[in-house]
Amino acid sequence: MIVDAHTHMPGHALSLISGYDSSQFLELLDQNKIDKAWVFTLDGLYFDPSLHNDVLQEYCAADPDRLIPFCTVHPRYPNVVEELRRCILILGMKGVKLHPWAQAFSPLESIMDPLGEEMESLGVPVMFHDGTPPYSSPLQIAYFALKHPRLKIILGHAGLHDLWKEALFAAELCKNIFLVPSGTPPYGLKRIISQISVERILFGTDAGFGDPYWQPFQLNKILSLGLPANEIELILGGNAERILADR
Amino acid sequence: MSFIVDCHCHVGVGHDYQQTVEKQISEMDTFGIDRAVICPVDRFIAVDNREGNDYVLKIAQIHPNRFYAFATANPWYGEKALSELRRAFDQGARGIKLHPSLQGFLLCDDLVYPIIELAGEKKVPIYFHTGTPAFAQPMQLVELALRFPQVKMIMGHMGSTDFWLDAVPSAQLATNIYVDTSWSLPDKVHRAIKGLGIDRVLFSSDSPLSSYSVEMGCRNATILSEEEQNRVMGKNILRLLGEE
Repeated sequence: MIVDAHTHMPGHALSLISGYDSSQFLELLDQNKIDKAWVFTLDGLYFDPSLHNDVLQEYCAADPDRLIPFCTVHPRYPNVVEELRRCILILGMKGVKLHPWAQAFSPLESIMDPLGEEMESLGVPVMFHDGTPPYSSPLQIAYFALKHPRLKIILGHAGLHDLWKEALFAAELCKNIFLVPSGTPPYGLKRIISQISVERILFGTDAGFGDPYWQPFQLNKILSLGLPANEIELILGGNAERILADR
Repeated sequence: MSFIVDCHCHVGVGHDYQQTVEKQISEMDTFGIDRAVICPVDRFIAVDNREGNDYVLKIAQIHPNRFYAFATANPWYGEKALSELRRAFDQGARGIKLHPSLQGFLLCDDLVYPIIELAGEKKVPIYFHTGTPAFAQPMQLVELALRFPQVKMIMGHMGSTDFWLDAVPSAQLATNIYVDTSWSLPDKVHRAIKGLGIDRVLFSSDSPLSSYSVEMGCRNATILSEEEQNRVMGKNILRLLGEE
């Protein structure tokens, strides 16, 4: 079972590929032998989040067993808790994606409190973009993780190139932090895996946002780690499945 | 198969990296890399420049058919940095590597001008790490490149990650800027070639932080004609080094 725990529905905003409807997105997964994908919006990070949550829900309805939608909400919007509840309880979306850098908020702001509490009570995981200052450094997200210890928090890039070591420190500090090493240097990933349990590492690629080659590229990075088969299985899909099943 | 020259990787045993020359040669052989431009690792870039430079210079002297050494010196050492670089050129250094975020200076600070002038005098390229805010941004390299148009500068990793949107449009402003491919998937390299022309895009691995496995995987997935392949994978850096 391979789950790509970090993909985006191609959109107008910043997307490097275009014209991918649901069936073409599923074909991309087939080509790379990927069974399921956690799918996030791109356009909803920049434009009307409610509208784009609906658009994403419809996109994933083409094959709900394989395309798992995560909603986004803007922490500054007054209806943030209401929109979160609508997405999870009415639309049936499975998690939340937040991008502090694109959505222009710091994970340390008090506006994050009601959102964190509601996500904890709904029991849904939240994926943060991370690795880019000023608002998306791993330890800024660790602050939010310390405030909400029951919440499963996933760093979508495990620090990217410059902050992979900070992502490692964040994961050591907070047991409720999980890492998707998309954008993490191979050297940094080896260090991370030598220091934290593979049960907290999830395969993810950022496919849909960028180059169609991202999936084979990221798969190669995981497979070339030379880990035992059972650990590879956890990273490639087991951990992602467990996180959603735990709810 | 084209002649492959890696225009940027690190060799040495430092705080993070343990890349010995034996390991480097073995990996190059495995992935069909003919030659590589090598520079020192982590702490030898920040401090202890002479020790790091000696390490890569010696490797290049022992294996002249496999390696070109780029020397570094922290610009904050001032006159001492210049004399260290002059010493390295006497020992066979072929270019300069600067890392603004690791060495702690604004990429286009006037602090660095004497080093750029030395590169101009020696007619060698300078490889700048870019992509790390706040000190290593593509537009800062453009400002410097416009000030020293005779010096060839490589925009390391094309601004990856945070400044990927800036890389090509900024490099278009200064024809003495070149870009290299490490960390870039095929699409980004296609865009760089389209935006900058085939002669300004150079293959690199940034090993051992990245790896030859993933970097060569990306390059093998990049769609290029045979002639384009030859230039990106080797000819372009050889030209910058005055080797052809």
